[in-house]
Amino acid sequence: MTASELVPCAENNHLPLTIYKPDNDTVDSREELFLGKPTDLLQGTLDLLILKTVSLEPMNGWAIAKRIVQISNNVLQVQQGSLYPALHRLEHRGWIKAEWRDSENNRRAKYYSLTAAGHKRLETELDNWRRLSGAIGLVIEAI
Amino acid sequence: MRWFTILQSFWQSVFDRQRVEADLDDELQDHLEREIASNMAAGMSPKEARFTAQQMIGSISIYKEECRDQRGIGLIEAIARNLRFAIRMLRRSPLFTAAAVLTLALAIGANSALFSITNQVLLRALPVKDPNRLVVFNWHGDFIGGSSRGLYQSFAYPAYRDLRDGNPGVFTGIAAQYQETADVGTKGTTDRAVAELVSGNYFQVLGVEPAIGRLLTPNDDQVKGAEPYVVLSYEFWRRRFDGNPSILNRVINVNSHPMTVVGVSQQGYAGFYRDSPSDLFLPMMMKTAVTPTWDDLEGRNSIWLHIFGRLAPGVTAKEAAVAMSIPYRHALEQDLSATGRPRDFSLRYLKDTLSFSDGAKGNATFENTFAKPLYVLLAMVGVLLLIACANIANLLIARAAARRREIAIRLSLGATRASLVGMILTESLCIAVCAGVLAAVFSIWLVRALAGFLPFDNMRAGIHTTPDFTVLAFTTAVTLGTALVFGLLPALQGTRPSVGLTLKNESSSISASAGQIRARQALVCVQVALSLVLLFAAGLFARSLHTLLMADTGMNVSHVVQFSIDPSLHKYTPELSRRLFVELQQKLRRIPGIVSVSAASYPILANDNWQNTVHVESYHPQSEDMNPGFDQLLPEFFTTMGAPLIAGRDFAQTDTTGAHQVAIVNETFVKRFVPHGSPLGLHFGYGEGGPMPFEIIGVVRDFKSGGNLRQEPKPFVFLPMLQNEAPGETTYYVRATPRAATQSVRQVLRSLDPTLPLYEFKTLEMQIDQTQFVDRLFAWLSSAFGILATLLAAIGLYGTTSYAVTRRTQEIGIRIALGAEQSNVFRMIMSEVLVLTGLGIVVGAPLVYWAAKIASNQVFGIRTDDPIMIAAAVLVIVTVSALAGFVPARRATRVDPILALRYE
Repeated sequence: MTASELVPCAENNHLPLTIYKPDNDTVDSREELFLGKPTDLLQGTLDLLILKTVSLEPMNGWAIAKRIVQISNNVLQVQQGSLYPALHRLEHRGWIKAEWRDSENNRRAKYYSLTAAGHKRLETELDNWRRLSGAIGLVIEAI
Repeated sequence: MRWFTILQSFWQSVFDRQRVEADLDDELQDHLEREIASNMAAGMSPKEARFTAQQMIGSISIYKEECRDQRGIGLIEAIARNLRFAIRMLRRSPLFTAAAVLTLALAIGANSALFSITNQVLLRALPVKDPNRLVVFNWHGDFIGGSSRGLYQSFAYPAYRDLRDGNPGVFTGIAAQYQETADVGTKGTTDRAVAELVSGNYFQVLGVEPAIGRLLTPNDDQVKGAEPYVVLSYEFWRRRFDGNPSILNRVINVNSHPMTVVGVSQQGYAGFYRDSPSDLFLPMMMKTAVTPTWDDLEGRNSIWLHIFGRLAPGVTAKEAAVAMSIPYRHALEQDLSATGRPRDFSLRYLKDTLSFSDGAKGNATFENTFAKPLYVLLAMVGVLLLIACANIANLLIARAAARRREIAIRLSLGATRASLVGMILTESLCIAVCAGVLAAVFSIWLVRALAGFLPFDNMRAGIHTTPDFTVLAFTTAVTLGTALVFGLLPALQGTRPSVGLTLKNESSSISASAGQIRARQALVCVQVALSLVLLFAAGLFARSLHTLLMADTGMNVSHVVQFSIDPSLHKYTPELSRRLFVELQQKLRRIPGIVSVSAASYPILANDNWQNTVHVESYHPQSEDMNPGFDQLLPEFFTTMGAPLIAGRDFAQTDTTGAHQVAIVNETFVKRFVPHGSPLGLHFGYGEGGPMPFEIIGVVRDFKSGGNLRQEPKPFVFLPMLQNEAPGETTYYVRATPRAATQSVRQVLRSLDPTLPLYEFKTLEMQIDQTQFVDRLFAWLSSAFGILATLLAAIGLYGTTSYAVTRRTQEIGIRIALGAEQSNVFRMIMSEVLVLTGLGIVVGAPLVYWAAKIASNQVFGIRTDDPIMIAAAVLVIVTVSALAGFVPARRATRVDPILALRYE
C-alpha cells in the first residue's frame, strides 16, 4: 500500500514538466505536447535537470525553476507543484542538501546544493540520458 | 553518509514535525515573494503581481502534502494518526476495550500455551547436529521370543551389533540406547535419576559436543562391566551439582556402583526421549549396573534397546532400508540358530522386515500417546479463539453502526474507503496487540498449570514455561491474524459508501443497514455452531472420564496407599531382597490401623505392562495371542486390594524359590485357556513348547491389574514374588483406616535399612488419576472450553438481540399501538432468537458429526454418535440462547408506544 492510498490527499495527475512548442512563447497560447500520466522518463528528467542546475552553485527553488526556463529558451516550464516535491525527494535521498540563508528581503530562503552522492548520481543520470537520447536519435535517424 | 542523511531527514519528519512544517511554509512563502518581485520587475502592479504569482503557484497546502509524501513519511504519519485516534476511541469506551482485550487475551493465551506444549512435545527437533538425517530403526513381523507379531522399535543387543557391523556405508553411524531409572548417590544422599545406557558411538552419531570434560567414545564401551564412566546431562549437572566443574573426574555412585564423571553433555541435550529427559549417560557395557536384575546383553530373544542411525550424505531412508536388509537377514539367521525355533516359525521369521522412521525428534513413542490428544485440544482451543473473534467482531459492528455518521462525513469529505478501513483496522490491531501482550503473560502461567497435569516428574521438568522464539512468533502471528479476522468484516461493513443515505437520515440517531444486522446474525450463527461443537466435545470427554472412573476395577481402591523400593539397586542379593520384602510386610502389618499389606513387582494401573508367551496344558492354540499379562505378588495381595479369590488358595510364605512353582490366574485366563474342567492343578510354561513348571493353585476374579482403566480384561498370571530369581523394583500396597496410619511407613523402612530410598509414595487413587491424566486433561480442558464458548455465544446473541430490539423500537411501538399483545411481541423477538440458534445448530451439525468421528478413539465406554449427547448439547445451547434472548425480549414488551412513536 502506498502512502496516497492511506492518506486522503490530492491526486497527483499533472505533469512534472510541461514542454511547449518552441514557436509559441506567449503564456496564453500554450499547448501541451504530452498529456496523460507522468512517466518515469519525465520524472527522471526533472531530477536530472535539478541536479544539473544546482551542481553549478547553491540555489533556491525559485531560481532553479527560472534557470531551467531560461536556459531551455522557455521550452521547459517547471511547475511549482512538481518542483518542490522533487526537491524534497532529492534532499530526502541525500543527493542534494539544503541550507538556510537570509534572502535579499530579509526572509529565510532555502538554498540547495549538490552532495557527493548527488555528484555521483548526476554522472549516472547524465550517462543514462546520453545513452537514451543517443539511442532514440539513432532510431529516429535510421527510419 | 547518505544513509545518515536519509535517516536524519526521516527522523526529523516524524519527530520534529513542527519544524519541518515551518520550514516548508517559509520555503514556499519565499518562492511566492520572489515570484511577486519578479512579476513587479516585469512591470505589473503590486496587486496584479501577487495575483498572478498566486495563480501560478496554486494551492500551497497541496504542495506541502506532496512534499511530505516525498519524504516517505505519509504512511508512518497515517499509521501514527490512526494509532492516536484508535487509542482515543478505545479509551473513550473502557468497558468495551476491557471486555474485548480480556476475551481475546484468554483465547490467545490458551492457544499459545497449548502450542507451546505441542511444540515442545511434538514439533521440536532434537538439539543435535543436522537432526533431519537421523532415523529410528523399526522392525515388523514375528518376535523370536514369543508368539506376538507387530511393529517394534526394540531390538536385542546382538542384533544391534550385527546391524552396526554390517552397515554397508548407508549410515555414517548406527547407535543404540536404553533408558532406565537409577539411584544416584553422592555424599550420603541418594536420589532417583534417569540413566541412559548408550553405545560407545552414541554421541558421535548424534553430533553432540561436551560442555565440559569429554563424552563417551567407542573406547569406553569395550569390556562388559568394566567401563565405569558416566557423562552427566547439562541440566542434571546444574540441578544436582550447581554446575560446578570440579565434578570432573569425581566418583559418584550409580545404583551403588562407583563411576567416574568424565564430562557433561552440551546444554539442551537431555537424551533421545524428549518426554523423559536423561540425567546420566553410561556405556552400554555397564548395563548390569543399571539393570541389576536382568542382564540379557547377549540374549537374542530379549528385545529392549532402541537403535537409531545417521544416514550417510545423499542416502535416503528407503535406499538405506534396502541396503540394510542384507545385514538384517544375517541377524535373523543368527537369532534362529541361537534359539532353535521350529521350521515353520523360521520361515515366517526370516520374512521380518526392517524399516526406518524419522528420528529428528528422537524416539517417537511419546508422539503416539500424545500427538492426537494434543492436536484435538489445539483444534478445540483454536475454535474457541474463533468464537472470541466472532464476539469481538460483533461488538465492533455495533460500534461501527454507532459511528456511521462520522464515517459518512469522512467519506464525503474525500477520505478513501481504504484509508477508513485502515483506520478501523488500526483499532482492531490495538485491541489485538494489548490482548497479545496479556496473552503472552497468561500463557506462561497456563503452561505451568498444564504441565502440573502431567503425571511424570521428569516429563514436567522437560517442559519449559518460558516461551521460546517459535512460541512468541506463533503468538504474534495469531494476534495479528485475529485482528484481521475480527476487524476486517466490521471495517468493510462500516465503511460501505452509502453516504447520501446516512447523512439524509437525520431523524434517528441509530441508523443501521440491514447488512449490518445480517452480518451480526451470521456471526452469531457461527458462534452457536462452533459452541455446539465444543459443548458436544466437552460432554463427550466429561462423560468418558466419568465412565472411566466409574468403571469397575474389580478392586476396592479407596484407603490404599502405595510406595516403591528397589533394593536391587543397592547391592542387595536376590536372597536379601526377598528377605527385606517379607520383613517390611510383617513390620508394616503390625502398625495399628493398617489392615493389610502386600506388594507387586509391577505397579497396578500405572501403564506398566509385562507379558510372556505361554503354553498351557491340554490347550492347543490356533495362531492366537498367547501372551497373558504377568505380575509377581507377595501373599495377601488379593485381600489387600479387595479382589476375591474364587477358587484355590493364595500364595503363602512357603512358596519360595526351590519350592514347587505355583501361579494364580484370573477368570479371563480360565475362560480362554481352560475351557473344560477345573483349572486348579493344571500346568503351563513359558514359550511355545517345552517344560510346564507352573501349577495353577488359584483363580482370582478379574480386576484391572495392568495398564490403565481403559484396558479390556485380558488373561493374567500372578506368580509369587518370593519365587522370583531376580527381584527388582517392588511396589507396596497398604490398606489402612484411617489413612494417617501410613505416616509411619518411612520410619519402618528406615528401621530396616536407613539408606534405602522410598519412591512414589501416594494413594492408589492418585496413581489412577495420574495414569488417566490424558482423560482428565481432556475432560477438564474441553469442559472449560465448552462453557467458555457457550458463554461467549450467549453474550453475542444477547448483544445482537438487544441491538435489534433497540433498532426496532419504533416498529414495536407501532405494533403495540395497533393492538399487539405483549405476549405477541415477546414471541416475535424470542422466535427470532430461536431461529438464529436453530440456524446455528443446523450449520453446526456437520461439524458435530466430524468432531464425533475424530473423538471416537479418545473416549472410553461411550458411543460418540450417541443421540443423547447430541441432544444434550443442543438443549444446552437452546436454553442458553433463550436466556440470552429473554432479557431483550422482555424489554421489547415494555416499549411505550407513545415514546417510541414520538421519535418519528
